[in-house]
Amino acid sequence: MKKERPMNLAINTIALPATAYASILHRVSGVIVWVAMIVAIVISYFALKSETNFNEVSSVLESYFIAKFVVWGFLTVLGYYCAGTVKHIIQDFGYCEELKSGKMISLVAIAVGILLSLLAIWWIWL
Amino acid sequence: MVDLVMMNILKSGSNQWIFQRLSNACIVAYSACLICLLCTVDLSSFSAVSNLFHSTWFKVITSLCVIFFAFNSVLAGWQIAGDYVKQKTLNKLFNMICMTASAVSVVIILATLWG
Repeated sequence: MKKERPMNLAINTIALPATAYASILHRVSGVIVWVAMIVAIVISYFALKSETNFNEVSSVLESYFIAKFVVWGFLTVLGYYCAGTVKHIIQDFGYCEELKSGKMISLVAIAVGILLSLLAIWWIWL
Repeated sequence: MVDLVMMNILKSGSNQWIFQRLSNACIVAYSACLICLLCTVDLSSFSAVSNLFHSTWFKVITSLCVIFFAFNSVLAGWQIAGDYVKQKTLNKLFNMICMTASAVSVVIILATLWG
């Protein structure tokens, strides 16, 4: 076989299917959830040390738009991560593994992620 | 016993796959539990949150889950490093950072719950 074979690794030039977006979004959301969890754990530790600390953290979350935005962002990625995980588990049991059904479940996972994000907006701001 | 289980997981790709699926399902279940709590219980005061963190069921479930999450993070970090961080030293450094951060978060959570 020839050693130099034609390759196309310019991913930005390839029209990726929904399955590819669902997959990479799951990985990216997992990384963000992991980093955000570490920050949340440190903040929780600080907040639970005393009532003064707790009130300080509460006040920051209530007063600043950026704090609410960050919480919303975290809930959004957590929501999509959960939707993507459920999709993975369904597919691991052998369902929705064909081309058409795989695309369908990927779109459903993305739609559920968007829905959960909208619910998070409602919960935080309304 | 735990060592044997962990070595089994470390040496076997299929065991790692099963562990990852179980721990991901655990993350989903725990997240759903937390969201339900946030929606049903008033956790806007220090005493309410403190009471929750002192309740035995919450302490036990959170402790077990966070240990699961830490191992899941290390495994996921190893997969991500394998895919994107090809240089050997950087790869090892990335994995060390993942393991350290996961261990630190377990310690902080356990200290918060049981300290």
